[in-house]
Amino acid sequence: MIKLIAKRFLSAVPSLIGVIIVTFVISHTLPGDPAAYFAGPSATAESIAETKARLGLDQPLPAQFVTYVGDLVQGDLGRSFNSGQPVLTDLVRRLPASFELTLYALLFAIVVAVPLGLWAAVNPGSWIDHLCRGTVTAAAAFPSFFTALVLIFVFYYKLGWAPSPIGRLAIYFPVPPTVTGFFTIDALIAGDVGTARAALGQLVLPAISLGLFALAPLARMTRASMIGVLGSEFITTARAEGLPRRKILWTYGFRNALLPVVNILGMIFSFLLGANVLIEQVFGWPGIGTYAVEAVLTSDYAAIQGFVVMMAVLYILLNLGVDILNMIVDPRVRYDD
Amino acid sequence: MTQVPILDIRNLKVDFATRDGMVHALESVSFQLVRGETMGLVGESGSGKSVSAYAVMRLLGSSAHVTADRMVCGGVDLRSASDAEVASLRGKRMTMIFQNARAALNPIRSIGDQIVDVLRAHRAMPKREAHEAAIMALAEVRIPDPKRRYHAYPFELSGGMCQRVMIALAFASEPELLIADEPTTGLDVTTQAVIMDLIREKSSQRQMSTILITHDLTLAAEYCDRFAVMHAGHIVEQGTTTDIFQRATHPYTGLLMQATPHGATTLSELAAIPGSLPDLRRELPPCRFVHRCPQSTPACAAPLPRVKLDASHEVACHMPWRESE
Repeated sequence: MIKLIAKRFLSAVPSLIGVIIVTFVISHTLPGDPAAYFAGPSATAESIAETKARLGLDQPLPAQFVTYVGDLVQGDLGRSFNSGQPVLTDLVRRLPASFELTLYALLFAIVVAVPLGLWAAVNPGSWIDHLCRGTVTAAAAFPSFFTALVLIFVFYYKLGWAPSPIGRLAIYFPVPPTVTGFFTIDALIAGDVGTARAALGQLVLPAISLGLFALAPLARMTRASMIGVLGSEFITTARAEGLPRRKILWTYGFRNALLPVVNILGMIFSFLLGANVLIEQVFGWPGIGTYAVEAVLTSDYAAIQGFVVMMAVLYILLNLGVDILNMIVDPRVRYDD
Repeated sequence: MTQVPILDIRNLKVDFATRDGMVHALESVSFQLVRGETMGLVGESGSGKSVSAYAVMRLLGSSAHVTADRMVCGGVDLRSASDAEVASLRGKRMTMIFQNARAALNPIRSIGDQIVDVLRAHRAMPKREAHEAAIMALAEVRIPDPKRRYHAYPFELSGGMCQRVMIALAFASEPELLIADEPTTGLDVTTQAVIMDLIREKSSQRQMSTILITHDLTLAAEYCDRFAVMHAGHIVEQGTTTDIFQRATHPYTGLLMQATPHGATTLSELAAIPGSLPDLRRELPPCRFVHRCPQSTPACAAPLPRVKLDASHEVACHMPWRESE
């Protein structure tokens, strides 16, 4: 099993190299001159050239690439023009915010979509099935930033149930000491229930807006998969042998139905990380989405590259995680090399 | 010998509601089975053998409309029994094994655990004891190294081994009636014999009744006491193995015999049965074989008779077949 995991890991290396090359080339052929941007609006041609030389941008592209890769190997993603900080520091500081939001969104989606899909599958054609289809269609029909605005309007502005939708924590709560980077968990570790609750409160609206997006594929997948499994021959066998209904639905049905759902979880997670960009803008969330948007708007090469490389690494790690999860649930995968 | 039959089916009728209308899958199917008896249910594909079995097990989906004058298994009326009652009959009273054993086993659960599931569904049994019993069950169907195989998954076993597991599973609950739906189709000839011997051995040990569904007459003749021949949802003839093989009376049975290879027949001597099964969605004539029958007469349009030739032999035909001798 460990060998298999190592193998999967190694097979990701070529795609990683590909990602590094492609992002470098694309970000350097994009229009926009960062040297001009940094030299300021009143800069002369001379001072722009000077900035260029200072940033190493006057070198030929291959030379820039070699420098870049050399730095990358040492964990140096370059320095952001915008923040003046090393890109790695920026990302590491912001990543937990995005991760926490995405995980809660995924959790919300799973908790709602999986039971809904299962319930619909066990009673096809019933009102719950129609409810499932309706919910799923409605959730997928609205873009997430729109849902986010509606939720803010209703639950913050009209009803006042939600805290003000700005950032991860209202200003009068202390930021908990960093352990995991997740405010909700760190606050609990620090024994500060009030802050944990406040952090969770801040999370509810953005997590729901984001999670609604993932609801549709998850619920549909669960429903279709469970219907397929319930129609399969081994379920008939289980019934013919007189196994109790609960056992048939859970041990025989649900566990098998879960396999394709687990398989798409990694995809949905990275899909959510991407969708984060808009939600973070709406909720003033200090995550990597906001960072990436700023980087693109200002042609902040190092930041863009750093962001994309990090997303690629995350994607690869996530899929590795999904593969491992798969090996645990599905014995057939363990032997498959 | 008059015995209360373990299974008593009278005038079983099954229709399926489909998008293209009603499919009249079964009509006036009647048969009884006494304890310890093995009955072969034969006929070409689509003749309603499996549907009969599924109807008895109440495993048909909601699109099936099942009616019968009588449908009793082990003293329980299957027509009026609730789902829960039927579920409690399954496994204990009646059980079923299937053609494709590998697909019929849960792919992600070890075979031992699957046997434990069946054991514990029918008897209150501590986990450890069930585990031991499952290993015993695997040993009984002669799976080598049962202790280690307990943890095997279906995909790690051959088709024959899967069928052994299936048998162990079916017998784990000590049922009174076993329905074996083409248990050896898709297995090679030697494995077929091994599996059939195993089924016979286990069922005679426990005085179990067996329904063997097959289209392999040669194989079935060796293992069955009695036969019911099905065509297009009707039982056209039933009788003892000798009745069917020596004194076939329904034209369809006769043709079926001629279409079955024996050791000495050459390919050119094998006769195919003309035509194909009628479309069961349409209005059907009383005798569903009439359009394929070499000796049909205008009298065949009358309602189908049930001619009792002797105590065991019964045929549903106006013009019983007389083979020229």
